[in-house]
Amino acid sequence: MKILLVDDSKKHRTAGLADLMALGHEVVVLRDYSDVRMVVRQEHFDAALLDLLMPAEGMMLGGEGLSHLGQPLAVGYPLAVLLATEGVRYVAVATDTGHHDHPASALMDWMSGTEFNVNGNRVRFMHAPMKQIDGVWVKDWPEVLRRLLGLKEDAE
Amino acid sequence: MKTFVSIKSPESTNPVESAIKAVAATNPKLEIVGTAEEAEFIITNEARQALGFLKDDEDVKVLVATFPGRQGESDRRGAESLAKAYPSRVLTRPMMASNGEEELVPFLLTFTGDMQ
Repeated sequence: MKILLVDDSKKHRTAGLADLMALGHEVVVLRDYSDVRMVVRQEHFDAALLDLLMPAEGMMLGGEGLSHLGQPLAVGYPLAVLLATEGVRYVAVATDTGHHDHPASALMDWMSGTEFNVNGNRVRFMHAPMKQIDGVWVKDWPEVLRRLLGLKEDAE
Repeated sequence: MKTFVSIKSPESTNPVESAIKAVAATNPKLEIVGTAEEAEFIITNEARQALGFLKDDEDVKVLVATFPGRQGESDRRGAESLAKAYPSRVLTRPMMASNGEEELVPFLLTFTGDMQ
């Protein structure tokens, strides 16, 4: 599969790229959500794996708007809708932020375990399965993909 | 502490960046390096660029040095927001003294790496 991976965290990007490529997938990794719309319109992806909370970027911001720069933004939710609407067949949003730690992650409790259909494409939301690599906890993106494809039930 | 300086300037000679490097180099705690990838500490004048540095290296610390007046207004807002979002990783300082805040040069001369 050709997979788009979007996560502001370098450790999650690095682990995801290595793990998904090891499974034979072609992976395009983005650090900035502001690049997503352009990339998805230029290339076809079979699946997209997204972080939920990413720091707000300066895109379109000026004046008082810049007081939001870097603040955690639940950008995974609109990105999921955008990517499914743009024709990505399988889209998953996975957060490692605890549901006590941010309201957007608390809302994930309502969203996870349900398969959404957006424009005929599958979208799933979940608290990210995690694994340790050299003592560092990272998102288990292959497990996210398996759950997205319906190959394993969510833990919730 | 390996330190990278990246100051955007309309001047081709970028005198501000050169001056900041010279000041930082006098602090024995700071070692000037040529790339952001090597750095543990980065000095920039652009808040948007600072966010990119923070995302590229989860250990790097960033100082956003802002110009006074209207020239630096948007970067000041952005820098203050970044400092709130990344309290242990981002500092802001004015290039020139403003509202009693310690300006950049004296700060760099004595900076030890403590981000508090």
